[in-house]
Amino acid sequence: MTHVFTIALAGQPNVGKSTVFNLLTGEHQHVGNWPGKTCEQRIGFYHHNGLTVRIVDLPGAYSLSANSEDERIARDFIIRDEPDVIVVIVNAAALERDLYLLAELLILPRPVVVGLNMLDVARQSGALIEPHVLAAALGLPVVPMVASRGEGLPALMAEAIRLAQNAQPQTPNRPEIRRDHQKVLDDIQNLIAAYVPPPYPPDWTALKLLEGDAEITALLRQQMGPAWSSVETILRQHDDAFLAVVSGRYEWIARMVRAAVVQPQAGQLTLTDRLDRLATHPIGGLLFLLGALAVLFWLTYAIGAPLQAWLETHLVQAAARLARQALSGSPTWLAGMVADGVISGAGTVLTLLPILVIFFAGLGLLEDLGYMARAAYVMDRFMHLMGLHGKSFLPLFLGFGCNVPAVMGARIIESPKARLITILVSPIVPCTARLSVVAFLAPLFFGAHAMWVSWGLIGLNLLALALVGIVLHELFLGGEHTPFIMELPLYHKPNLGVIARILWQRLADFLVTAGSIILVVSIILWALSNFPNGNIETSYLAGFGRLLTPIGRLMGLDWQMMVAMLTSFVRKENTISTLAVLYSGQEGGLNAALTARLTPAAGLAFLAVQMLFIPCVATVAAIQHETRSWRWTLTSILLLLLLSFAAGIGIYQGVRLFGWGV
Amino acid sequence: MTMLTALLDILDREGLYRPADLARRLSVSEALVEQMLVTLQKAGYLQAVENCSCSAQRCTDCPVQASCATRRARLWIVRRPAAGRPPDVS
Repeated sequence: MTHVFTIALAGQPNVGKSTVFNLLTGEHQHVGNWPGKTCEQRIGFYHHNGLTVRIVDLPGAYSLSANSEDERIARDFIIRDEPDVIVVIVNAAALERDLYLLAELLILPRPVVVGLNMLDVARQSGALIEPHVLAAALGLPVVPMVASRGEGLPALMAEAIRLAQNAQPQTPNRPEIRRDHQKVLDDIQNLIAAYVPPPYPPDWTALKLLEGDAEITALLRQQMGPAWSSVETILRQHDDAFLAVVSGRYEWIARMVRAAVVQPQAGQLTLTDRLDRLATHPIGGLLFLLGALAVLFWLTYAIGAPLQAWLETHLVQAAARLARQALSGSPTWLAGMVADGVISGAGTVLTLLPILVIFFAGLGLLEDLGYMARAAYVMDRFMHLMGLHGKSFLPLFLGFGCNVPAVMGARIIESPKARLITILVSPIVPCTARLSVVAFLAPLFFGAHAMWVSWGLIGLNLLALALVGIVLHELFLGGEHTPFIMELPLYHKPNLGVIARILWQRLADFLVTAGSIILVVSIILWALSNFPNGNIETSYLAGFGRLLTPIGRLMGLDWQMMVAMLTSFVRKENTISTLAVLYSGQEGGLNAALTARLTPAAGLAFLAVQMLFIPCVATVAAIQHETRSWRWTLTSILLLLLLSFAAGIGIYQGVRLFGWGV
Repeated sequence: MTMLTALLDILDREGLYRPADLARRLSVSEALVEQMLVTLQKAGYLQAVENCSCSAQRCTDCPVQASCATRRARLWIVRRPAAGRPPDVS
């Protein structure tokens, strides 16, 4: 007579369980649905020496915690159908992950065989696993396998049948609950023992209650009625019981792995590991980041700035001359508006293109290499030292691209106070628009020293960000913090197509803005600087600009520079188009006019104010939208006005005091 | 101190961590830390950050997606670093 055993084939997803099932059962399979479920149920039969083994392929499950339908089906089958043996397939190359399911299965009173699959993959990764040592550590039979080649399957089934025929219970090395919770577990078990409905094992049920398993909690609450309150009281008193139970399993896994696995030698580090030793080092990583940005700025200035100057002379000024000649018969205001407003204004902004191409291509290269995540990691440590850390780092880092998403990104922060601080300091992060203005103006004022001045200005912003952040953090939060865990991507060979796409996205955004907002503002500024009588010194704009002269004088700036500063409120690049409009009549164009009219001290003060000035209108709108408060929006504007003018005045007066750059 | 408690204790000291850092501190493999992170995420101690965390903004609409630092990095926020009952366990 044929004896029939039932074997449950369990395992986490992607451990080769289906391969094992198919090889064992061949065409003797039945595919249907699990009772009352939509998940596929596969049952097959294996015949050996007159024995028939019914094999039930359980859905892939990471644990028996009923986190998903698959896990619920797997645990219900094992508990309710009580298979004769559970065959657990584990991936030898991911043993730590797969042993978690085994740790849970061992609590259930069913015999277990472990199929240690994918040993070939584990060997390729450099890990050496000793199955007999693992078997001794687990106290279970362990069968080495390479299921894809059919290796180990007969031995696996022989072991499973031997266990099914053996009446002796197994005594495996089970995970234990944290020692300080053992009494709690015993108490719960005693309280529920009379109420646990069969076939649920009381010890397993007690553990699940401590884990906070919603399904088992509901079941026991219903079974126990009024007696449940005493269990509930204990559970409430031990709110860290989940950690006590699960930690026990992880310590058990760590013990098993330490016993049976010889990990790859330290010499077998991957390229990513080797690069990250420097790129994520607390000090070396910061120096590496500074170096990467220094090279980027150097390339921008060494190649981009001369190209920009060439375009200014040979394209913008030439086009303006041509336009004047072409419109010589038309009204004076029309020729002036086209040559000085449209071409000199918006056209000068377009000469920024070489600078932006190099800057954005460099950033795109760093991103596609996988480096920018390391930069964020290193920057967080830096910000952490400044008192700005946790969730704030992500939106602040986004601010280097544009302040608008930085303000919007603050939504991730649950604490309203921390969110407000992040919103208030976001505009201090130097966005690419501010940096492009610096990239344009710094070489004019400082020539070969432009890169170092730019670095100093970025440092100034980071210092201001730190100071404001620390003050606001201490005022509002008093030490509240939120940690992060970040899994860094692997480095990989950059893809030129991806970098080109990144570059095009940024340039397209810039060109659209230059062709719309900056063009309109340039025309308006030209009109205000030419009306009512065609003389800029007596124009409406001059009248308004002179109101700002008292503040400007403290920084060595004339009213034109102050107006240029103000127009950056619409869009940061407007500073350049405004200067181009206001200085369009000067000999040698904008570049010559600026170097002739501004001392290096005034130029430095102007750039410092530009870097810290109130953000563009889009960012201000985002601040209002996110804070839903005009009070905080105005506070932000006032804060930045004070900060930027204080920095500008301080730098100008300080430099003059030492007699530099005057 | 047990493993998960030790992990949460490290995270309680604020800052940004990589699984490799945590593995080194706990003297276990990175794979085991990965598994612990999955468990803590399911239990509500950690929250996965997706789409640069700009909850109202998809990456495709993001003006800085081109230079986004976390486009490829997986991130988790620690919701309750101190020991305590997981937020979504009744």
